[in-house]
Amino acid sequence: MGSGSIESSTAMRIPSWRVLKRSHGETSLIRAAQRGCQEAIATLIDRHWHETYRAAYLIVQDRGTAEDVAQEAMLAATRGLDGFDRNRALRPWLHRIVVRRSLDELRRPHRAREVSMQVLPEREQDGPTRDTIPDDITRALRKLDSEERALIVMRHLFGYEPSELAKTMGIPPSTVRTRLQRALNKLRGELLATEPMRSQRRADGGTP
Amino acid sequence: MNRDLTPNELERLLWGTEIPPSDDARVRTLEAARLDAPQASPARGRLPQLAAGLAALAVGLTAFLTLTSPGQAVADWAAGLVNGDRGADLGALIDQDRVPSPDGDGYAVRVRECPPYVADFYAKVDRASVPGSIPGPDTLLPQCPTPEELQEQLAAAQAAGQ
Repeated sequence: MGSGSIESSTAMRIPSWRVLKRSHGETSLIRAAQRGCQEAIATLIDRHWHETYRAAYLIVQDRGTAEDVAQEAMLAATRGLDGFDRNRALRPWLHRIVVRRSLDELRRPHRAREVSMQVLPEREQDGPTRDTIPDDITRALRKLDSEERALIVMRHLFGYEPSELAKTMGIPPSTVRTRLQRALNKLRGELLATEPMRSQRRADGGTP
Repeated sequence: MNRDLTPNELERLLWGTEIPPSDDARVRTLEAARLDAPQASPARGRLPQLAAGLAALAVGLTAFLTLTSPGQAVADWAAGLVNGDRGADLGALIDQDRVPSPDGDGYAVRVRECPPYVADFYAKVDRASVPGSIPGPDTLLPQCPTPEELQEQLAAAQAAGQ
């Protein structure tokens, strides 16, 4: 072993740090997570939690279910990191997991929350709460079926092209385009339909 | 209200719409991942096997060092391992010392980017005997350890294993 000094170690540290910051931020995190570093895993979860949860919520339209889906998706991703190719981006992989998990959750035959979701518009009469956000886009999304919501989220929240959606959803690109257009038309119709109701509520002094 | 619903408008609505908070769920997920981690990475939590591997390695390493006359610190370390009953995971000890880095991930430098004595030091350890527990050339460290810190890590490894 040599007799390197503290000063020489520090001199080495600074340029290496900058190189890593520029090009290996997430890659180094993934590498560390693959080695089992819990702090790296926690950092990855923190970085991606909010958009994962947002996507789940917009698709399943229920807070508790969205939390469950986001958690399952995150844990599935961290468990699957061993086989993850670090040369690929992590986000698209996470997006696919959370969208598939959301759809799987909605397809469960005994899913009680599906029933409550259908009556959510009436619950708005009780006034807004943090669990039932009376936002017109959220309300309009509830009128779409789950696959349409997933397509809208993948295309317009995450920005994937129809060809990429086709691979994720396992349907032809032309079908993706058709369904997306149909979903957008329904969404547009719902937004227009709710506008008079919102105006009326505002005039009555109710919830905007 | 204009509801032409252009792609830009829809993107803005989807990102901007208020959704219920999820911090509690995020914290639960972090905790679940923490509990899950040993299963995801069997290399962690193997201190008993690691200790046995280190002890066996140290015997061979001492013999090697005697023949090649390398640095005294490594020789001392190897001798210390021979005298100790168990070792500990060096990687875990390094992780405990992680410091904040500019991109927030806590890792600053690779072993091979440190002064040569660092890689030389870790290279003395037989990776086959201690899988996944000794830093390699591409392992990311919070910072380049000084010779003194390397010795401290090894001392801590011995202490943790006893």
